[in-house]
Amino acid sequence: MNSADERNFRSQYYGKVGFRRGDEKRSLEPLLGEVPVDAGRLAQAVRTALQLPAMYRPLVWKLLLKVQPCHPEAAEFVTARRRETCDDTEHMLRLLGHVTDDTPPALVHWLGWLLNSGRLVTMDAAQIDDQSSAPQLQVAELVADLFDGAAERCWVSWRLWTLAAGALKLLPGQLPWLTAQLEREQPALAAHLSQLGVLSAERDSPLRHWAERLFCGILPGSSVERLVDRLVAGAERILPLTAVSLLLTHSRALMACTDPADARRLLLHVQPEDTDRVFNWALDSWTKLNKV
Amino acid sequence: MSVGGGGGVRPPSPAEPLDDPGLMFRRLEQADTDEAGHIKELFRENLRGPTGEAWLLNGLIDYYVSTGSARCLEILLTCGDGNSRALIERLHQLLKSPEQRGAGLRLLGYYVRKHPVWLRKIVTQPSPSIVKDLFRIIKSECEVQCIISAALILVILMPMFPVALVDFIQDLFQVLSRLTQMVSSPSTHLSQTHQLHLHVATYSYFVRVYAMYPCNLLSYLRQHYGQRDSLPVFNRTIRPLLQHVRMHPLLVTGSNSTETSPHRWQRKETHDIVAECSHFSLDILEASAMDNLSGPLWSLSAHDEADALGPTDVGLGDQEVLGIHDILCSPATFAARSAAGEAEGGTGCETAVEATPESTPAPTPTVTPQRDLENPPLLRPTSASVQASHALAALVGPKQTTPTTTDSTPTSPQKKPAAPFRFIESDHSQQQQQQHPFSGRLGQVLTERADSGGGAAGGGGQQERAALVEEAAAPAPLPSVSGLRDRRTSGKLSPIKLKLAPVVSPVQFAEGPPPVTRPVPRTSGTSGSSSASGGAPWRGPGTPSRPATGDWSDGAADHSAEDREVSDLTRLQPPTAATSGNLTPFASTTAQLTQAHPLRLPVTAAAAIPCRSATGDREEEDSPPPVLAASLPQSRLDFDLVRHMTRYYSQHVLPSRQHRRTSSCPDVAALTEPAPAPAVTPARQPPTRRSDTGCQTEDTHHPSAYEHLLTVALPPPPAVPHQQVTLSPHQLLREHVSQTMPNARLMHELLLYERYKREVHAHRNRRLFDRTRATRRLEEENRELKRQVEVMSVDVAECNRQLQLVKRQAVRAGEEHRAAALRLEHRAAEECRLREQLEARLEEQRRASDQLAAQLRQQDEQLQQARCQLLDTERQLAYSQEKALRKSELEARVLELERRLLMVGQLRQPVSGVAPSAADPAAGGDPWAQLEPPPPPPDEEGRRRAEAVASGLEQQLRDRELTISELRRLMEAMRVRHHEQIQAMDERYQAVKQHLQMAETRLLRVSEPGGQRSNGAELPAPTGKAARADPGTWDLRDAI
Repeated sequence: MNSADERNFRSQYYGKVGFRRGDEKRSLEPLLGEVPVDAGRLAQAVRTALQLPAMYRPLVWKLLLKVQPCHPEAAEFVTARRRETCDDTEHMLRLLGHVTDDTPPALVHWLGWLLNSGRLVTMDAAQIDDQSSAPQLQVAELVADLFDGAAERCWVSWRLWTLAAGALKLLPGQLPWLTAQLEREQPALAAHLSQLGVLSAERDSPLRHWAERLFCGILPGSSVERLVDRLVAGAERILPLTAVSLLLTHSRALMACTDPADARRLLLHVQPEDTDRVFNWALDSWTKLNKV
Repeated sequence: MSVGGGGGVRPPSPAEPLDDPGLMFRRLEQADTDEAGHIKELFRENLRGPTGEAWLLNGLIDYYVSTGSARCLEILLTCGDGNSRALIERLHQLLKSPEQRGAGLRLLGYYVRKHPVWLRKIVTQPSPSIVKDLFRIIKSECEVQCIISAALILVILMPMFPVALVDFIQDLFQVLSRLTQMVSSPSTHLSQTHQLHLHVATYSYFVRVYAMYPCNLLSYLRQHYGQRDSLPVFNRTIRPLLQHVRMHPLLVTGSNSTETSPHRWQRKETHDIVAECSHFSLDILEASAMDNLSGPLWSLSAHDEADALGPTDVGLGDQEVLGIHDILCSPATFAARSAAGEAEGGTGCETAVEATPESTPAPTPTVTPQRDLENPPLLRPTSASVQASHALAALVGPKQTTPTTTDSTPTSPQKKPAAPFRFIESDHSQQQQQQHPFSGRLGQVLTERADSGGGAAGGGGQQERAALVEEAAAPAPLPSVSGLRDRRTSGKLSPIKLKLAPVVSPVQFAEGPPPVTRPVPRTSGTSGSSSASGGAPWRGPGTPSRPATGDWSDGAADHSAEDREVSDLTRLQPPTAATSGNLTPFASTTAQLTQAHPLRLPVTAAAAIPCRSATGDREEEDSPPPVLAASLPQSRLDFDLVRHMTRYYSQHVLPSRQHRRTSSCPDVAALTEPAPAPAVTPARQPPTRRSDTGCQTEDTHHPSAYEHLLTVALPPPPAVPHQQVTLSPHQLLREHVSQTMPNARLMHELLLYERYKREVHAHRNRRLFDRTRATRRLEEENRELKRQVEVMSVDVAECNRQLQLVKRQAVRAGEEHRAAALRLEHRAAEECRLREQLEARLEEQRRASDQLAAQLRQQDEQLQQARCQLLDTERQLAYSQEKALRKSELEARVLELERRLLMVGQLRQPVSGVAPSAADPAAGGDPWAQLEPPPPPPDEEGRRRAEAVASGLEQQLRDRELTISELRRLMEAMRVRHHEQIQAMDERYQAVKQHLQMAETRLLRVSEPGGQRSNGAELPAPTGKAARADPGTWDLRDAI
């Protein structure tokens, strides 16, 4: 393909300029047109694609997240079950008194995920009340922007949260790798952050903070969507790379910080930029890594 | 001090044993009192043996009888307990011997009055019985002196041993008969003095006998005077006595046997009996001993009564005396009786004062009406006062009557009338009042003042003058001052004090200030002797020309002259004022001296009589009343004496000094001995007077009942005083003493008797005072207890108030409790309701969980169906695969067949001609059998056909492969589809499982009590917030 790409002048031009979507659209359509859709190939295509077309993104996400079955004949059945599950969950939440008509859908979805994942059973009332300000709700909002159906939103959110939970679970193991990436890019920053103790997988660490909300609110929406594209396609390492990119972006401010608390506060309240610079750097790194 | 013959001063000898009694007696009488005390102690030591030194006792008694030594008497009186028998025998001997009978009676009298323990023996001892001796003496003796002494001793003994003397009751009555007989029919040789004494003794004896044994006495009288012929004797002797005793209650309630029974006296002491006896006397003075009980109340009432009498207050005593005078039917005895009664009353009263110096006992008002009822008979017509004056005239003598009347009022300015026995003065005042009532009263006052002034001049002290000046300077406070001083003495005195004011005040209003008249006598004294006004104090007891004496000698000349003098003095006010003005310098010099003793000035004057020197040092030491001094022989002494005595009559209520007189009594006895003339020197006079003055600071103006006897006892002066000037005063004294010794002895006896009565009364008063004090203490305690009760009642009220408060609080608290209970009940009901709601919710939850379970079951069923479908699909798949396998086998077989067929075809071509028929059976039979023969070499046609068949077969094979691949693809799609469906189903199943788990967990928490607490917040309300927002549910949950 590389040879073909190199030969394709327009695509290269587009790619250099930053608009690299023509190929993906064309490459995705046959994949999506298969019956049943080959999820592996689709994921591979999504992973390798520079940017997923926005029109296919919900479908791709649903397919990759197994919200929508790859076989079209099973879609009806599965969708019905999904809807039933959503309804049952909401009914259960209402029955338990955690959800009223006034409760925002994102919170309802979040509580439903907690309920279905067995986490709500172990929570007490105070913790349940605190969930109204949970960071995962931003993910639900992001999903709500992309999807129309309640069951879809619900299930996509649940899947994403499951992904995030898995990423969080993997985060401690990825820390050395992350540190290594950071050292490769900027050793002084890595040493400084190690000295400050910012790079940890603790409950209130910036990395965990970023991961559990999938960089929603940290990065611009387009970057988050692209990130999630990679994530649903099975590229878990995009998250640490994005974190490294973010750290590198704020390296100057971080180097100025001598207090771990200040650095932590700085990283916890990163204001999203308008450009995809951070994620592009991460994507490039990820691409380079995959090439190697 | 030496008394009698033993008075000589002997050189002090060293202490010797008692083997030389003479020397010891001499040493006993020596001047050194310490040494004498030592000797006395020595005597007592020797007498104190178990058996007693009988010889020493006898010696002492002999010594006393012969010498009358006072110290010896002291020794004798302190001994006798151990050797009473010897003493009684010795007394018996003395009483038997006619010569020593008087001394024996005297000694016996001392013993009886001392009342030692062994005194009972003289009554109870059968032999020698002193009582019988006394009876015998009275019955058979002719000497009046002894009779009187014995009678007085019996009078003393009777209350002491009332039971023991019952044995001698007939003797007692016989003695009474004898006495009354002697009184009623006096022998001619009996002097008036003796008659007087006899009257006194008889009346006392009668009162005592009547009070103690009335029924027996009446029966005795009935028995002895029952005959008609003895009636005149009875009327003459007994009736006057009977008429003046009170009706005895025992005459009604008792009998001869009851009144002599020992039970009657069981609870009574001697003083009780004495007081009771005096109570039965109708004589106010005799009975006034009881007034100590009534105290000030009776005194006040008596005073009121006397005030109501107005000017006749002076006559009160007069009339009382008249009553007694009527009883005794003798002018002389009238005076004696009155004086004796007065002494009894006055002394009793004063004894009470001495016994209770702080306060007088509370009055017992029951006595007062009795007294009031008894008084009226004493208020006789005033004409009796004339009789009284006659009586006194008979007492004193016609020659002295006039001066006596003028001198009858001498009292100190403070000691004003109010004396019931100023009968002489009342005589005089009544005479004056008849002329002019007010002037008579005034004259009385004036004479008093004049007398005081004269006395002051006679006393010769600047003190008197200074006192006069002081009184002139401040007349008004005088009554109050006197009242203050009088109040100290007794309640009896208060009438005097109160009576003083109305007496004085008219004088002030009518005649000008009394002090103006005060100096009048002093000016008269000045006229008599310029030395008095010149400031030189009158000194020298031997100077007969002292102003007072001269004044009184002049005044004694004529009564009318005295009256004139008084009227002149009242008219001479301006000169007296001037004189008082002249006197003012004395006030500045002597004010301090006189101010301290304004009351005793007249007495000082009286005590300053020069004859006092004759009394000797012993009198100075013991400070006897001036009366004793007045009894000494001096030419003008009689006047002074009479004046003095009558003044005492007017002052009978003034305080006395009983103890002083006690010590002076032996001196009176000693007077019988000739006083040594050298002991009296003019140089020693001032100290004597000082000592008297000192005595009088203690209120020694004692009016003694027996003092009037002195006047009687004194014989008329041997000569006119002025004519006796040539004689030596010592000779006069000796002569006088020798003449008056028997009388003095009688006086002494009477004095001792009166003193004994006073002591008894004092004893009684002390008892009463103790009782009163106890009563008062009880009253104080009662008052204190009442006060405490008040305080406690206040506390109780406070406690009650607090109790009410607490009760109210309790009621309020109860109401609050009830309200709280009600509230709690409401709340409980509410919570019950909530509980029901909860239970309903729980039921709903259960229903929901049942629904969930049903759904679960449904899901399970669906799952089963899905699995069934899956199994079905798998079986279909397996079937398809099997079919595909069989198909491939078939294909392989077909291929084999084709190959064989081809091979057969190739073989048939060469063999077709040879054995075309052989190929057919081989086609339908065993191929391998057909193949076994080598195929014939194919010809071209066969080859072609074979090639066609092979290509067809290949085509079929490809078709079949295509079909198989298509089938595989379909199978894969189907697998994917079903897998996804199964996965979706599984996810749904997982979700439902979680839901069910959640529901079960919640249900478990709701069901179990501990879990409700943690999770119940979500239960009652739609949301946890809503549930938490309701505190009532929280409380409810807590309550549950």
